[in-house]
Amino acid sequence: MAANYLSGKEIRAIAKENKKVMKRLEAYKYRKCDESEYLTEMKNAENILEIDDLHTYFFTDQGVVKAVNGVSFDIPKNATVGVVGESGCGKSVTSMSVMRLLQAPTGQIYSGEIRFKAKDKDGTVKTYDIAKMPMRDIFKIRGNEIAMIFQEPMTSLNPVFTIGQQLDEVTFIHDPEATKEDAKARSIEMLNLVGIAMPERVYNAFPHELSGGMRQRVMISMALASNPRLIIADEPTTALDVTIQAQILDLLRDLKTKIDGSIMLITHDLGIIAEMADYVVVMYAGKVIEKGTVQEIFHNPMHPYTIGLQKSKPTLQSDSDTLFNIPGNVPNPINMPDHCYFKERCTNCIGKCSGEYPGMIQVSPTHFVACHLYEEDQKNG
Amino acid sequence: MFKYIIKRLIMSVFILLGVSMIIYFLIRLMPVDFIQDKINAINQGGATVSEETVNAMYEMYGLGDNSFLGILKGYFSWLGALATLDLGTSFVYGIPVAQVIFEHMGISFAIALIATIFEFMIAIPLGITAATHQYSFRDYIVTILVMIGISLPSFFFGQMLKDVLALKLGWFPASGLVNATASFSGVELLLDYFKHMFIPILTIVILSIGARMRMTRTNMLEVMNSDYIRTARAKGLRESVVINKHAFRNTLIPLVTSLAGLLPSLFSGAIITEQVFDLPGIGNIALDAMNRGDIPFIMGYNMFLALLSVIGVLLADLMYGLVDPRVKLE
Repeated sequence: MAANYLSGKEIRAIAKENKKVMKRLEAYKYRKCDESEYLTEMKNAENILEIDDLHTYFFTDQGVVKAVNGVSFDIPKNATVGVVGESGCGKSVTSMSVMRLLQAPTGQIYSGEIRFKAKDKDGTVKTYDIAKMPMRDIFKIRGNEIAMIFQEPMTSLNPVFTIGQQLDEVTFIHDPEATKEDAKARSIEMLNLVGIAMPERVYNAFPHELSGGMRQRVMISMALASNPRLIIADEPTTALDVTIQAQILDLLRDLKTKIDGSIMLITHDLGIIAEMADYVVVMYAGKVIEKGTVQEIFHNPMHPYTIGLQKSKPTLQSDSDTLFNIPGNVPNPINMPDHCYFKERCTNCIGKCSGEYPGMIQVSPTHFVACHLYEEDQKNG
Repeated sequence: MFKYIIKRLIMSVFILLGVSMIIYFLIRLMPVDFIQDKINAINQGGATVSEETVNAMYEMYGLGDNSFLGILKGYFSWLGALATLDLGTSFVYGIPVAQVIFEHMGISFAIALIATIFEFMIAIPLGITAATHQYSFRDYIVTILVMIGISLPSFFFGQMLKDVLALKLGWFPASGLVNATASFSGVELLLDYFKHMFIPILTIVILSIGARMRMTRTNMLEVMNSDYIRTARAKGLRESVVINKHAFRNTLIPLVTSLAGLLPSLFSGAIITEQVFDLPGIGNIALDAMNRGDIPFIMGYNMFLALLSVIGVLLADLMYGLVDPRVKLE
């Protein structure tokens, strides 16, 4: 593409600038600091996770990709929050930022806060700002208070270790004094919990001997083995066939009550959201464009993008032979202009849309939307 | 498993037959003539050799008939002798080929084995740190150094080391395998051997580290970017455990496989290095045999290497089954 052509001079300038910023952020990540530096307070005590104005950038040779560009949402206790959006909208990057698993050194949390209410080993409740935590302290949370389930069960397990070896590891991380028998007992208990029929056999199996659904169950059991208070499920059913999808979703729903925790469910499937989530966050091009309870988003979608997403869902009632699609493509995330990113694809544009990016407008106590169309309403009503 | 090995061994016999045929025909087509050289030597001495004696000599060495049928006949008589485990008698040395090989293999094997051990011990950690610190200062330094190593020709670098370490500094002897002026025995003799082998081994190690290090780095990078490494991190494992257990165990798969493939190179001798340091290793002998048209030795030596290659490949496959649970040998 001619528009994306960069001269050698420009590339060198970008690389130089990137190197400077990456070096600073990497040094910040590996700094030594006292716990007090990243202790903070929750805005709302009912929440377990608060993401506040999070910016996660990738410093590539083509320029800075603002994959997550000012995202804010909360995950309340014992709730399932669904994050929806099309591919490349930054939903996975948001979850990776929470886990601090971004591909270094290009991927970096640039600014923002990720407040997480953690329980220490002795039971005291502390609120950490995950975005400010140095990497050597991240183990207080990662795989401990927050566990993650990935999209690709086929490749997410290490092929050269048995399921048992990989599950036992989790127990050993939390309890270094545990004996081999303790770990095995716990692993088998976890395999039972996720509904694996022959846990003893699966325990001794290698990943390649299991089906995709079984592997995803193993991944879930691995996430559960650490007794997490928040599970991040990044498209847990995308790679599975439909019947297995339903089983895995049922399993996740059961588990939420069993572990008494919260789930952050990332998906592009609105059906799953409707079935599973209490709250929905809709993301577009690295920004949250609408968020609210599941009823609000499904019965009263406000942002033109959310409305489009709903329309593009296949239904049996429709007479049409073709699926509705939102015209156009997701914009190139480098050097985005300061106006609504959905403008080019939106059918309801007004004059104001060429102006600066719309702020979040509160429609109801829980419903927020970022669209110029509703600004007047707010003033009037 | 047992059945698989038997099957592979039977297949190997046919492969070796094919190899021997190709080697034999190629050697007979080579423009070196052992007999002619011998006669030339006699002629230079002042004596003359009659036409009949020359023909009788060609017949005696079995090189009389250079037609296709003659070569074929020669091949089958060589093969017939091989069936009775006889590799023939070396033209040059006048003793059985097997004996020549075994006499000179020891030194080459010792050098190659020690060099290979050091090569792996140095190259693997270097490859891992280069991969885990990709594009960092450390990565560049390691890569530049090993690239210099790869690029140096052994006759040049060996000569340079010899010049500096042996001739200028006098720390090590410059050539040969034993000190000609002293007679050592026991531990002292062994020490003397090692002193003589030090520079050749150093040369080989420095020249071979590069390829192994790059291989480790590439494999490690591929593994580090895989989903299961992300899972291991997400579990809350420390980075050292992630690298040394989860990633390294997967990097090991191609490394172990390549290790078994090294089997023939352990015995083949380092032709150029042995030349530079005047070591009586098998590589040196083989080069000499090539130059002088010692057909039985060249056949015996190459078939020995071919056999080792076949076994090496089989071993590599067996190792693969051992280190990678996904591979089942049936």
